[in-house]
Amino acid sequence: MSPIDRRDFLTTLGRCGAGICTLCAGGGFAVGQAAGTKRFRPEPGGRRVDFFESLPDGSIVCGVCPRHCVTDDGETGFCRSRTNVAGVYYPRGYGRPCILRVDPIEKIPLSHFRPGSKTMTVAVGGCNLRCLYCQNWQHSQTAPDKLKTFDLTPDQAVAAARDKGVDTIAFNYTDPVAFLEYAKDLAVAARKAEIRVVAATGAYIEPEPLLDFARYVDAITIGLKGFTQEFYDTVCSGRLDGVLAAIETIKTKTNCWLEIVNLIVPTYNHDPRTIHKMAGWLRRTVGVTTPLHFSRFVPMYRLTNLPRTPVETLESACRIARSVGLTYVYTSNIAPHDGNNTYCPKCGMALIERLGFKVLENRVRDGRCPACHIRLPGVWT
Amino acid sequence: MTLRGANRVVGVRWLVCLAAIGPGLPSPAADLPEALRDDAQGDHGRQTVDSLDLILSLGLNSAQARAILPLYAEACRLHQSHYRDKAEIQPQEIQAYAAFLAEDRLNRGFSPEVERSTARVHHRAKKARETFATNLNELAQGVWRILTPQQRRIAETYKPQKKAVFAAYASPKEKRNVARQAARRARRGPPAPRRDDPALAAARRELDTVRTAIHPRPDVIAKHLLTPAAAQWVYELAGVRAPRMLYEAVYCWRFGTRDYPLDRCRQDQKAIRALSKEINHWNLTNGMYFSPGQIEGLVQLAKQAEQLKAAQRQARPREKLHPDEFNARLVQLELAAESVLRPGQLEVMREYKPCLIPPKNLKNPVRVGQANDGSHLARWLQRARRTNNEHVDRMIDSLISSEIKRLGPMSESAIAERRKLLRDTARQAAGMSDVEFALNQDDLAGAITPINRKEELTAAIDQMHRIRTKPGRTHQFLLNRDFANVLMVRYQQLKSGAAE
Ligand SMILES: [Zn+2]
Repeated sequence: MSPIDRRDFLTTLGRCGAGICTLCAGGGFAVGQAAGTKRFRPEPGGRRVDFFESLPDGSIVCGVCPRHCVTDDGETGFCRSRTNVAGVYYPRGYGRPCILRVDPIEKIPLSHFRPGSKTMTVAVGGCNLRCLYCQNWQHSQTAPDKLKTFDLTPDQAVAAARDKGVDTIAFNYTDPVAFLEYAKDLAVAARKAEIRVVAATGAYIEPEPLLDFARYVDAITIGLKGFTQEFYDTVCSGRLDGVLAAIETIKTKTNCWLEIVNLIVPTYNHDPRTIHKMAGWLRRTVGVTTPLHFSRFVPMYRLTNLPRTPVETLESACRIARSVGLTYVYTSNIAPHDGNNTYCPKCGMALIERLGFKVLENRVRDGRCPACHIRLPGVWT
Repeated sequence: MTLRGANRVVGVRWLVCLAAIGPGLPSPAADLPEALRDDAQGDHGRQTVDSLDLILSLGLNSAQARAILPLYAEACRLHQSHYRDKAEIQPQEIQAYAAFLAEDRLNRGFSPEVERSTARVHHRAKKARETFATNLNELAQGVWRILTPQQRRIAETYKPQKKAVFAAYASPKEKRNVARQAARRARRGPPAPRRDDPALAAARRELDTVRTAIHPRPDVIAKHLLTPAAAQWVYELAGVRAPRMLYEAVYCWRFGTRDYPLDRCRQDQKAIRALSKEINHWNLTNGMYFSPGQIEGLVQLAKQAEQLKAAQRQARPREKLHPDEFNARLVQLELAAESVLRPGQLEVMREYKPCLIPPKNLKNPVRVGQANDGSHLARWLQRARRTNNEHVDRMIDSLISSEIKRLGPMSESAIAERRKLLRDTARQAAGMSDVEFALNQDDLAGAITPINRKEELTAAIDQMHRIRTKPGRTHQFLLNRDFANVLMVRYQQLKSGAAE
């Protein structure tokens, strides 16, 4: 599978540049023609988007994410993955994942969900955010039908996972918000087949579609990318309040196991006071036992001018989060590091020792510390 | 030294000439530049003496010498051309490695141009070295062919014999000193017998063979007989007057060139070695993310190891520790160092290979949420799926030949077996649907991962050291002065926030 090359990508980006700029400058509705010139034709009787509103003039208001794109006939939403065809909203990448892999669960990242297990990871092109550091930009910033893809219905995906002997399916690398219809159908099929479902998302999504999807999801890692609107404006092109609402929704209205990841980008969101504020909010909203991962930024995509996150910055973020009271604070993208490991909050024993995604030693027994027997939050079997 | 029969007389005479003792004696060096006569001093001098030692050990006759002579024109050309390469590349290496080291010290990633230029010049230097060795070895085949089976056996096991060379040309005073030392040793009784360790010795020999195959080095004939210095002896033995070409080559061998004198060449080599060594220490340090507390512990242990080694070196013979006792103490320090490390760090060290440019997984591992392309073998299978059988066969040939280059020689039967495995796996991959392949590519790639004999042997030797209570990799990597120095710099950097 060959991702589109940089030049193709830039051309595409150029075409939709105006849309993005509009959004960055003033927010509000944004409609891009990102998918290029070829008109999208859905399969007859094809899957429709679940959350949208048709207007009398044939245009559509998308109800999936807080962006609420308004599209006329033939136009595609900001996410590049949903198109208005004659007043009906269709997903462009349904059943057409561009990435299909077997991964360790630690790569989501999830530290308290069946450590050491494998997932079948599925990703479809497109994204409703524009993170400048995106490490999968070749996939996330391209319309799903412009990528080389697999043909894979939800049932086939479940069967493939079964054949492979993998009992978890993950949505990672691109945001399931952009392919929610497929992700949900796949999750439903997986639930029927007793296969677990986990997802990594930026959670820039409306509560209703989120709940509709999360009913079938066992664990979710939400990328809380920053804790100021300014950061979301400059780096992600999204709104912080939408993400915070989604986190709150997951915690209070679902049974999903939740972990939070915050990628620290030097000069953008590394400020200790903001990190303190964020940790405090998390403590109040999701509780002290929700794992928080501080992830190291590595120069990527449109932020190649910045240095990697210094280790000291990550360590200081961990100290701040712990001082606020969060119990399970991790570092990722830096190994070997103490922050990769899970420690017992009571006796301090190293319960799970990791080297990056690799579990070197897992001492958790039946979800408990073998030394002091306290129960650990998470899903262990 | 096996100075046998008539050769013994000739040998001693030449060696005496080399040491510039006894003016007026007939000498093959008589027509050569003055300075060659004290060639016995310094590295090249030693090599000159070793060359003569080999010639005499082999008992080359004049007919054989005459048969070898035609090779010298090419050998001298290779030596001179290799010297010119060094003159060009070495200063570039120093410049590139110094820039690389400066960034490596800070552990904040490498700027692309620094990394690129380091990789480029490192590759060039390696290529130049290996091409020189390969060409010279090819030439040496001409010599191997004219040796008798007995001479070949001697050559294959030949080791330069320092003692014999010393005995031949040392001054009476030096000889008296050596005699005194020998008497002292005799009074103390025979040293503890070296434990015969055939498995370890065999593993080391095999590792050496594999290493030489991967990174060609001049073989014994190429190294000792196809040098300009040896040429003079062979011309003498053949009774043929040395040509002008040889003088020039000997001059280059002895003094370098006007633009790049030998002294500078040696200084540069030394500087490159020092830079590479330090970079290697930093690479390991950077990959380990030591905490200040760990650094304190490790520096302390490295100091103790150094003190132990220095004490053993400087102790009077009767006060030296028995080797077993000495090793046991080093192993204790090694175990203490390992207890300072976290499991993840031990894992990194177990897999660490000394390097100039750190491998991708050490420098920049795949990150959470980042889609990676899979291993190069997974990509190879991907390509093989899309093509016809004939082309797959060509792909297999080229893969195997690159593996031989990278991992060392394979027997005919091993090649046949590997070819079958690759063909079967490629066929299996081709028979899969895209989805099946996507989900199984890592397993398939794992199944065709070639055996890395070098790594296997290195691990086995380390293991044998442990069983035999000899210090291993931890000692080699962490418990030395240079590494301790690097750690102390890192400690200061961590404290001041200058690096991570
Ligand atoms: Zn405990």
